[in-house]
Order: sequence, then C-alpha cells, then structure tokens
Amino acid sequence: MILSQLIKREIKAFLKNPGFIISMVILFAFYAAMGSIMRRSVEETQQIILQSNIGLVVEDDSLLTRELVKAINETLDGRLRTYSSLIEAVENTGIGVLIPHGFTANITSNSTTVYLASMIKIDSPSTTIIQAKSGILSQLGTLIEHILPYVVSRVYGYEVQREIAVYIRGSALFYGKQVDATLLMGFLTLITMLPLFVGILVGTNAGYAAQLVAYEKLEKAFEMLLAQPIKRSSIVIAKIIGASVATIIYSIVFLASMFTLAMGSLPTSIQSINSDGLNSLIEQLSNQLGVDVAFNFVVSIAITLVLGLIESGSLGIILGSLASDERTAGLLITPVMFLYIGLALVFTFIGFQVNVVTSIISGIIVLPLPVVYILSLISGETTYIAVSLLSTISTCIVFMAIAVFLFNRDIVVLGLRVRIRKEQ
Amino acid sequence: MVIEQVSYAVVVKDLYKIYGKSSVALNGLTFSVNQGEIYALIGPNGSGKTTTLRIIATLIKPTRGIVEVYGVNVVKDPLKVRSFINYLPEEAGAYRDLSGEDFVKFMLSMRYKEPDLEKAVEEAISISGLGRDLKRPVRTYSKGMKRTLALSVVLASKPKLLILDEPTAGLDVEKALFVRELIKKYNREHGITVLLSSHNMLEVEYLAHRVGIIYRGKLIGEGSPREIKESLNAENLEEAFVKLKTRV
Repeated sequence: MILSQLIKREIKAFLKNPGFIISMVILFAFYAAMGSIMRRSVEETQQIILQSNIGLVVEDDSLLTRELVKAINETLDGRLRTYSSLIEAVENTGIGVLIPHGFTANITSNSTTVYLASMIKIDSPSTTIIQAKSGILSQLGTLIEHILPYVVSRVYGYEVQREIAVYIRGSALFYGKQVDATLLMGFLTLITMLPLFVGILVGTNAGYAAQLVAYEKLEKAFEMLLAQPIKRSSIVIAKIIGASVATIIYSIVFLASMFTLAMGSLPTSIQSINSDGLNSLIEQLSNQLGVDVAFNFVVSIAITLVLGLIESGSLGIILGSLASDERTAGLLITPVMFLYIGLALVFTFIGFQVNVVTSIISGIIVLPLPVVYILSLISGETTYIAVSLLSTISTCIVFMAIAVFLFNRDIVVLGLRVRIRKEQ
Repeated sequence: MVIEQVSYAVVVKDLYKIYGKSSVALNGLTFSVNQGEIYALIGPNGSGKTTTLRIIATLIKPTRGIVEVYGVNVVKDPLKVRSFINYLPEEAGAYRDLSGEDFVKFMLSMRYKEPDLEKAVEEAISISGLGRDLKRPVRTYSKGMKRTLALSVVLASKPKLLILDEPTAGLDVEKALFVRELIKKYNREHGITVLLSSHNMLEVEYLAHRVGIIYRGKLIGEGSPREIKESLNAENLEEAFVKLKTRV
C-alpha cells in the first residue's frame, strides 16, 4: 500500500513535467535527422581504401590467372600473398580471395560474369573492421574488372568486346564460424548499436532518478516525507521504479525514433524486404552462428535494461542525495549521463575481445552487456555471461546499498557541502 | 543507557552536533518536553533550533548526546520514533504536480490504511479550510495556502508528538492566527504534545506552556513564559532573551 503510493507519486511527478514531454519530442526529431546524416556517412566510408595484405588462393592455375595475379599484385604494390587454402589465407592476412576452378573458362567463353570467393576474419564486434575489410574486397573486385580486359588482350591477343562483371561471393570467419558476410555485417551493426541504445536510456534514467530527489527537495516536501514512519529503503526503491517507468515510456518513444532512423537511412531496396524475408534472414543467421539470434537479442536487451535501470537509477539517487537543490543535481548528473553515452559510443565503434576482464568491466558499466552475452553464446564461452551478469548484479547491489545508506545519513537533508579554502 | 521517563515526551541530554570539523551547531543542549504540553524553542538565527528539531524528527543524527522520544532513542530506533511523531519543516511545501487533495491523501497514506485513511483525509481537508482550492495543483498555491495544507496533514495524522519548525514564519497575520489556533486546539482536544521553534516571542507567549531559550547551541533559560519573565524582571520574552544573552 505504502510502496504503491510512493510509486504512483513518483510516476506522476514525471508525467506532469513539461520538460519530460519536450525532451521526448526533441529526441524523436533528433534521431530522424540523424538517419539521413548516417546514410551519407556510410556512403563516404565505402569510398575509403584500406592498405593491407590480401591472401590469394588460385585454384584455377592458367596463364591468364598467373598474369592476372601478377597485374593485381603490381597495382596493389605487392600486397598479394598466395596460400593453398582460403582458411589459411584468412588466418594469415585476415582477408582471403579465391580464384575458383573454371575462372579462365568463364573468361574465354562469352560469359559476362565471373565469380570469386572470399572470406574475411572477424574476431571482434566492431563494424569498422568488417566495413574496412569488405571495402578492400569491393575495391579488389572493381580492380579486377578494370585489369581483366588488358590481361586477356596480353595473353590471348584479342580485345574483349564485352564488359565482364566480377562478383566476390563473401563469407566471414566469425569466432570460428563461417557466416555470410552480408548477414554478419547486419548482425554486427545491430549488436554494436545496442550499447549506444542502452547508454542513452541508462544515462537518461540516472538523470530522472537524480531529479526525483532534487525536485522533492526543491518542493520542500522532502523532509516531511523523511519524517514519515516508512523505511528509507522503500523511498529509494520507489524512486528507482518511478524513474525506470518514466525511462521505459521514454524508451518506447526512443525505439519509435530509432525505427524512423533505420527506415530513413536504409536503401529503398532493403526497406522492401517483407517480414517473411526478414525472418528467413534471421533463421539463416541463427543456423550459421548456431545461436537463436532473435530470442537471444530479446533476452539480452531485457536483462540489460532491467539491470541497467536499477544500476543507473541507484546512481541517480546517490547523486540526487548529495545535491542540495535541483541545479546541483543537474550539475552532478550531466557528466554521468555523458559518461554513459560516451562509453556507449566507445563500445559501438571500438571492438573488444570477450574475456574475464572485459566481462567484468562490461558488467559494471552495463552498456556492452548484450554484446558480451551474444558473443559469448556464439563463441561457446558462456562462462563470460555469468561473469558479466554477476558483475552487474553486484554493482546494482552496491549502488542501491549506497543510496539507502545516504538516505539514512544527514547528507540527504543537508546536501553535499564542499568548502574551498581560499589561499591568503 | 535508556533515560525512560514516562512523563516526558522528549528528553534531550548533552546533545552535540558538529558540522564538518569545527562548525558547532549544538553545544551540549539539554532539555525535556512533558507529555501533552506545548514547548517552544526560541532563539536567534543559527542558534541550533532547526538542527535540534531535525535530530528529534530523525532527519539528521547527533554527533553525540542522547535524544529520546517517548523513551525511544532516535538513533537506535528511528522508524519507531517516526511512528510517534510528525514534523513540519520550516517553509514546508508540497508536491507541485499534485492537487492539494492528492497531496493530503499521499502523505496520510504513509500512516493510515482504509477506512481510517479516508477519515484522516476528511479531517485534513476540514482543517485546511482550503475548500475547492484543494482540487487545484499545489503550484498555484500561495505560501500561506501551502503552509496550511502541510499543517493540516501533520495535524490530521494525530501524532503523539508534533514538531513544528517556525510554523507561522512568512504568513500574514490572519493566517498566522489561524495556524496558532489550530495548534492550540489540537493540543487541547487531542492531547498532542507540540514542540515548536519560533522567532516570534509574542506567538510563543500565546502558545507555549514552557519555553526553552537556545543560544549558540545551548539552553540558556527554561520555564513558562511567566516564570521566565518574572525571574528576569522582564516585561516580555524578547526583553528576557536579551537579558539572558548578556549573561552568557
């Protein structure tokens, strides 16, 4: 009864706050605009040529392929290395390209299309790496398209009258599992966006929780509430739940915004993929990775959000307790919000290896938890999931204990008093 | 050590509160409040009145010393103490997003369950005298209305001990009279012990059965207003306070 009253009161405090409503409107508009900006950014990234060695496997040994390899190698300043298998090439250079049997026959016949096989090694969730490696393959395909007519002319003494398209069928070696490169790219883009998504939400939640305490102090009703015969832990729990409910409402708007962003940034051809097609892609990915992708996405996000809201809510209440008014609370919480979002951005763009240390750190800062969860499942190292969850739960308990501790101390009434001694 | 004194609502013994390393707010304060009386702490700004009331209301902890409310130590069992008391802080307000009525319901729901809650809410509404204004959001209230609203909540909760920090500070004469009458009425009719602080010596003379004069965190005088005035040959409490202050 008391707890429900406390929770109702905390939720009402948000729903009647114009700042809360306005911030959601701004958020929606901001991310819709971000969609078109991101699309341009991705197109620019595709133009970047990265310098690195390329492992080459020549199954189709002919004068044409030998001359072709020689020409490519000269153009690439000697960056080609030859290997006997694609796996060996990938293990040694990170990028492997295979000229398959029948390549020469395709060229000498009237075929307008030739295929190469490729594989890239991905051992981190960073999309930057997969984008760079895919970019190299794309450039290589274009390069071959340009060189091929000259090589044919040199070897066979006639000019190719038709345009020959070179397609590189891509796959990736992802944590030891062979996956379609396009599917993997989509998958990695999605999982590396999760820390940013969680970061924005938990940062917002920390701010909300701090506000709940600070505004109560401003309204001069806080001391009256503290003098009521209720446990301070009940007040803390109510505030965590209150802030979390507000954040969940906010996150629904956030997700709608993200959806708008996604729809705005994807090419029209991909937008037209219907739900059956999407399900089919998810199923393919699940089969290749050996993990139920959709289910584990939902589970990992749900776990992360619940724990993230508890942790950031407790942190917000700690900061709100230290503040003597809402302005101080704002000052205290702003860096924390930026820290959360900043960390999320770091984890979005910088790949990291999943191990005990990164699992513990991920658990403490919550944001990369879905990435750790999913990568651990794929790599079969499920212990890391337990380590990171244990780490998060411990952090939540510690933060909540600190919040309750502070609510039982003078500081919650008096606020933090920092005295700066003036030099004489 | 338990100083169980059944006749005392509040016992404060050798109370110290030091903020930081050297800011002494209370410096060995000792006094007691009898059950059923109105006891007023008077003194200048910064003398330690609010600090004392906050300690008794379990909001802050003493640096050392003993404080008991109805025999219960405020540090050892604050939750039990809170069940005996209610506290109206200085400049007490209410949640701006709630209506006056919702604020009353919320605060009283911390102490009552239905059907008692409904009765208490009705009583608070009646005490406040705010009528239809109770349906309006608190943010539209004047200072006096907010004060009356908060006071109605603490009175309707009928605590054994009511702690009021400057209950009429900043109110106009009419509202101040209204508040004083309410305090007196609830003390008389419901036997609620009242511990209040005030700058207003006239108010204290009118309301209090006994007065404690606090200066620099110490009690420098105590007794009924008449006793204090007579012992110091003063015409009023203000003059008595000035005389006592010069002796320190």
